[in-house]
Amino acid sequence: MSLQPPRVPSLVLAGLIVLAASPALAIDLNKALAAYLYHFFNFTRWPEGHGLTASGGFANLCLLGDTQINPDIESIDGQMAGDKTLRILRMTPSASFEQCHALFIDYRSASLREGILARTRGSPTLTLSTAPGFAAAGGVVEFARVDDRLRMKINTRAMRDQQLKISSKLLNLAEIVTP
Amino acid sequence: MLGNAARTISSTRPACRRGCLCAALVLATAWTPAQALDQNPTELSLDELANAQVTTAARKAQPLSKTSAAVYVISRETIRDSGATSIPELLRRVPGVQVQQLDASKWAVSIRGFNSRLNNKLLVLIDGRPVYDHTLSGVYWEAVALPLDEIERIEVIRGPGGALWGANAVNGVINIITRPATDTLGGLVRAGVGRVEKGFATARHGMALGENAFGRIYLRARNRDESERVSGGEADDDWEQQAGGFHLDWQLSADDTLSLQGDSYDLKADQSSLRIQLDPPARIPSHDATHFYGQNLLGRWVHRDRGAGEWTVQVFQDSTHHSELVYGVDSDTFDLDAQHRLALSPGQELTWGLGYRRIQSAISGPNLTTVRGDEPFDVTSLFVSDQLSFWDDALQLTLGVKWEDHELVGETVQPNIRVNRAVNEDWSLWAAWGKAVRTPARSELDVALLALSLPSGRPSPALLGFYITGNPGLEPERMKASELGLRWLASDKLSIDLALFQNRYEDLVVSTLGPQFVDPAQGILRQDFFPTNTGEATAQGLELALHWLPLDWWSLSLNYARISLRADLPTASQEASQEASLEGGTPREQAWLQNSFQLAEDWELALILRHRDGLSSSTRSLPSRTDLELNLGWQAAEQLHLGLSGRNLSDNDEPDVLGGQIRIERSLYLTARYEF
Repeated sequence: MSLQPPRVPSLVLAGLIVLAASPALAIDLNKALAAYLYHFFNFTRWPEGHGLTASGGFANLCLLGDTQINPDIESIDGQMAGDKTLRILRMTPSASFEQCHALFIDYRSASLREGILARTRGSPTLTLSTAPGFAAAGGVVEFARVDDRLRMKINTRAMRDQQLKISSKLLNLAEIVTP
Repeated sequence: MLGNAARTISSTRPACRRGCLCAALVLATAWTPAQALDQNPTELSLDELANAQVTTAARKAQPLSKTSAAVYVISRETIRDSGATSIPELLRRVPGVQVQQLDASKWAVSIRGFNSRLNNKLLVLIDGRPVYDHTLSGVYWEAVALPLDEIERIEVIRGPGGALWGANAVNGVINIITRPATDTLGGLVRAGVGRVEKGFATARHGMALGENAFGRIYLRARNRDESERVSGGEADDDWEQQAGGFHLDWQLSADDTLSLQGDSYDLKADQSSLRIQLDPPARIPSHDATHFYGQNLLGRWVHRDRGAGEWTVQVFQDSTHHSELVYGVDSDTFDLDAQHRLALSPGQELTWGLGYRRIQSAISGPNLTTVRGDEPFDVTSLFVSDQLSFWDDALQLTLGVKWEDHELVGETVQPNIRVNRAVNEDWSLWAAWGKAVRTPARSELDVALLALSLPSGRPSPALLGFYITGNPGLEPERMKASELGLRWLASDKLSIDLALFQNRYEDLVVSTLGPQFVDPAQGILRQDFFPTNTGEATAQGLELALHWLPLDWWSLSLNYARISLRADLPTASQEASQEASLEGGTPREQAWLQNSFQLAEDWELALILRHRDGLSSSTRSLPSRTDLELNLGWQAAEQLHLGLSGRNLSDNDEPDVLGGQIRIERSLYLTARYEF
């Protein structure tokens, strides 16, 4: 009989080493952004009748603009968020946003972003962007890199106008903006 | 066949899906102060995210591919920034691919040698539908009308692909994969004007057709001016093209997708041809208005069996028409394929599939006869491919074989074995061995065409007619290939991909001149050129692709290929000249160098130098050639991109092809792309 060390599940072992050796994880910015976008589908409630209330089916994340997070976004396409399959739709501004449960707007032009926000106002669409001033301008979620951390600003009035409920688990991590 | 399901080579699968591999990566980097965790974003908890230090990764020169084949992928971004107006132009960047422009509309594209307008050893597929012409063996690139904006990526796989893709994938496969309808919602217009490229335009509109259905339509038109003859004067080769198409994707459920797509095109290109007749004058130089048109319709159903595998069923119908002064071909292809991919165990993936194809073609011409007429023929096939992984994917072994039964040619078997060893994250080595076949074209089997007539020099019969005739006993051409490759990610900023190959060809088709005989039916003396399997050849070479990012705003790509082709054909003078053209028709060395500069946030400049060695045949030679290309891009507004492109800026006086009379002129054009 060979002498073998007891088998410790490798992930547990890895986790212990991680905890022991380092104060914080380092994650690529785009990967962190993709992870947050995924979690918004787990921690947001859409109003009755907007697809996401029925069981099964698709949760649509729409991308507008030549988004820089492309390869990391690919990795959440087709993943399950609860009982929904996450689906990514890429679009140009003339497309209809009716299908979009969430809309990530990657335009540098403020007027273009505001035009999109005006078109989606009042409809149950979770709008997100990394553009500075996005939440103050009526967008629901604005991401920003602050002190090497990815932080969020959430405009709760815009959230209510869009008939969305974002779980306190996410709200607690965000700076609340009420313009 | 089923191009974009299991058989596409490049994988977008997240790097770390299995827990054990994640753990291994974590352990490997555990003692660095902050963890660079290569994790699926969905596995990160909110707490981890909130506390994580975020970094911006340096641009990677090139992701390290795990495939054990010489693959080069042209991405959507590359296509968008290239300013290209056609697919052959894009293929110029791929090492080991020979691209020559013959006239305003015609291109010759080959992989690893044997370059000619109709290269019969290269298979080209659009979403699994071959655009390879089975009547004459080869691809009419001018008739590939798909707008470049429709393309998600182009995978160029050098080396034999017969074990997966079947016959005619001898020297390589080009897989053109279009974008899913979920990626093209909204509107796009691209238009251009120029001096040689007189005008071209594409319009596309994509929309949601319901909660789970998406679709788009496109229209395309282009018009190119005629070229100049080397001897002076216009070449009479101007052309125009119109095309339209659609793509629909239904997501029937989370695990079932149904796609329906179709294209229609019409192309008129002028050329000068010789009208051949038995009565004098035997040859009459004529204006030849060639005409291509066609439609295709393809449906695909994909069923994902989570954890168990994936089923794909694909069916298409393709109708093409091609007519010239000398001949015309009307062809209909019906194809049905089914494929199943399943994980037999965590380290073993099996893919197998069945195929049925029915081809009906009618060949006609003023001096042309066929034996079979338009009687259809069938091709049935079966393939199996098994991929085994060892040592956490550090060693991968792929065994594959395809059996094909071609009604006119008989059975062929094409096996392949591939092995890939990832030494570490930066180094990988691969090796492959395989056999591939090229099946004879209809035109080589049963067609007789008057090619030339001369006075016989006798009182009776007074005329000698040369005929190109088919040989119904012709066998497939066979090739055995050995390949070796190396990929090295030297740093975040430098990647190197090297491939070596040796191809041995047997039963190569050689045009043989038969004896003279009196044809009583026509009252002439007749001599036939007919194809025989009497040739052999060996090709060896190396291909290098290098990407380097010296500075944040500067990137450099260098592709280099060297090939030496030695043909061994029978010794008669007719065959000797074919041997010289085969050996000298492929440039021995080729290089392509692109320097791209991010001049300002919204401005990009790319300068491309490409070089090929000289070409030669028994009667002619062409000097080596260096061309300069330029692309300047300006993102003028969020939705508007403007580009200026220059081609052949060094303005060579020679044609780019042996025996050619046409000079490809310097061309400058402006393009605008507007997304709305």
